[in-house]
Amino acid sequence: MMIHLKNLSKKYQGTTVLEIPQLEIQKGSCFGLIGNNGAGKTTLFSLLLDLIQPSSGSVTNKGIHVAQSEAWKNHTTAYIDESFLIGYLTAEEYFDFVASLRELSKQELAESLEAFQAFFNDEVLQQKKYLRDLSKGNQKKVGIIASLLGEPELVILDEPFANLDPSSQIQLKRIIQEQAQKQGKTFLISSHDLSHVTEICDRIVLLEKGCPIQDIQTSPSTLKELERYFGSSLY
Amino acid sequence: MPQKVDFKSLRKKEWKRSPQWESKLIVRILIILFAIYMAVCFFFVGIGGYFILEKEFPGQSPSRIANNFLFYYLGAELILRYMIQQLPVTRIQYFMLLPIPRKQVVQNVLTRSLTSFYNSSLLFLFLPFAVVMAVKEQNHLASAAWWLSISLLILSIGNTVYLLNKSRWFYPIAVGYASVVLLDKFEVFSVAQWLGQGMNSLLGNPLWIGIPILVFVLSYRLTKQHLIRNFYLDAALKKKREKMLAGELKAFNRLGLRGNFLKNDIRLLLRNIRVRQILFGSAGFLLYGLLFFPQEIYHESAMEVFAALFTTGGFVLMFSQNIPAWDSAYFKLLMTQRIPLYEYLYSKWLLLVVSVILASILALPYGYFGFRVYSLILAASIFNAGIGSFIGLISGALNHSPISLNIKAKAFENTQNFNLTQFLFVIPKIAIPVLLYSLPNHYLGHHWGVATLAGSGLLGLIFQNPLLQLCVRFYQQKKHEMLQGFYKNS
Repeated sequence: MMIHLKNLSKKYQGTTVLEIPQLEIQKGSCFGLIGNNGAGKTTLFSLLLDLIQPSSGSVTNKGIHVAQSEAWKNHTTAYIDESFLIGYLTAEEYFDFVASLRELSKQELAESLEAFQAFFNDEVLQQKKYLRDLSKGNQKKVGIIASLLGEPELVILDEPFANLDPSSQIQLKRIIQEQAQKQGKTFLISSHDLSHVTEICDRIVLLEKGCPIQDIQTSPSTLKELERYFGSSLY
Repeated sequence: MPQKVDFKSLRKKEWKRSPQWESKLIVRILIILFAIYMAVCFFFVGIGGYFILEKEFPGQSPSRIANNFLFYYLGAELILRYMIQQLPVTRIQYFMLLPIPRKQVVQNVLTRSLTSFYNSSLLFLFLPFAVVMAVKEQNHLASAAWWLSISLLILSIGNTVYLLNKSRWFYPIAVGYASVVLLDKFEVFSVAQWLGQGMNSLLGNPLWIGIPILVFVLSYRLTKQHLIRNFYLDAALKKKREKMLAGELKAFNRLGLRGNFLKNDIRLLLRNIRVRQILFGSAGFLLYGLLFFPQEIYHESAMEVFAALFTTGGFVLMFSQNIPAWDSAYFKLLMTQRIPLYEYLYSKWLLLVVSVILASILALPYGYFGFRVYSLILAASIFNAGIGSFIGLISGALNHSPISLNIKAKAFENTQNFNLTQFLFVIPKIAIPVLLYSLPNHYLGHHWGVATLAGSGLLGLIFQNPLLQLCVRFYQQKKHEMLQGFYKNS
């Protein structure tokens, strides 16, 4: 088992923004998290990464209590938002830095990046530009690829498809599927794009106002069901 | 198109809802007190200035002497404002798509910059001077014209800053100005005197005020046209394409992870406006001793220790209080990576120590004031490296305000980064070393003072490892508070 949440809750000044009695995520699965704005997706990810402290309950990552030990950092990576990028570095320098933290050699880094050339579309490497001057889409590409460096076992991505152009979205789907199936990585992905999530995730949890209200094993009818749910409030 | 836009209420909201008003009451009061203090200082310089000139240049008219200095004042103001004044042009952006005439928006930007903090000298410095002049010389009309002319010239400087912003003309103009100053110095040709004579004629005949009026109107119109012409996202608002600084830095690769952190810190220093300001500031601090060491009255006083500390410790003081806030923009990344905090802090500490070493080398010319002065500077620098650096690291851990790296720090608007804790930390940062020198100096003599100061620093260097471990534990405890502070608004 990869992730185990128990009685997890987060409150801000009396308002509960997240409340999950129990949730387990298996190793090697691609887990999707969906929900409208304010449903608690990013809060959950921040709790998983020990960026905020839970009001109650606990998160264990491969048996490691994330708030008590830092050992989970050895096999976990994430890209949540631009605060995972160092704006004054170029893409190469950033990858170098991340690679050094994950103990990749120059050679290994070059090989890993080579595999993503098509995804970068010649707009990321050798640009002589700082990351803060790249477009939002290219920044996201840098962040996502950096999270894949160094063979992590668990990759957490918040809204990976937002800001990407259609070709890159399709490529990213392939990259995630390949990494999950062939290399056995576990992915946690949140998205507003229902079709992408149903396509790549084998399990989807729907959050509403901080509570998981549906836990779905993806099937051909899932997309329709989800569209019905999200559309129902409109009629 | 609607003709009137209520810019005023927008401005009021901007002011009321800006971070400094949301900060604590006590900070707000301190800022106001500081502003009043500055205004009062200006005021007294303005009033006293007349009498000082009268005393220093007996037999000459103080107003005429002041006129001769005017050229230097204006030049310095132009350079200073170009360097530090943040222009409100980015605020145009919000109005670009709204049905408001461009002219109106630009006019508003220009009118509001008339009330800029940088123009306060004309109210607090030159107005009192002009009033004293009017009373002493009994030429009310001429004094009023004189003050108006200077005000107009200063406002024109403000406009010129807009014109120079992002243009290639600043450096040629700065070089031109420097050469004019040199020509003056070697008495070849004096523009300063030429301007001074112009102002003197104005005192004789107030009608000459026509010329400053003309200068102001011209600069205002040019600036307005310039801004209207550049009312596009890719023009005035666009950032300059930066040159790449600090490229490979291969030498650091041998240091392993530590080297990687150092590489990033060097890039942090060179590639971000906000941090570069600190480098310039430290260079300024290097000259701080010149204010004190040449003067007999400060001989072996606390002020000398003070000066010695600042001379080599400017960087430590300014940089360390914002560790880890310098990394606030990407602190989430650092906190989710396998980052050994020890290595992270070690590289920051090393940077502080290296800055002190560099500063003590650059401070060698202080040897001119004798071995006594330089030994004090050296002792203070050892203290800065061995103890000051650690106090800095601890004070930084309590600073949870994020820093926008690529935005210049503004006078009075940089209060996001001001907090009371940092303010209070000045006491151990300054008082401890002053006591360490002054007590032994008082009872045993200068050598003992220097030895105690240097010795305490050496102890810090010897016990670097346990001290740093202490900092690591402290940083670990503060992790979530830091994260919460850095990402309060997101």
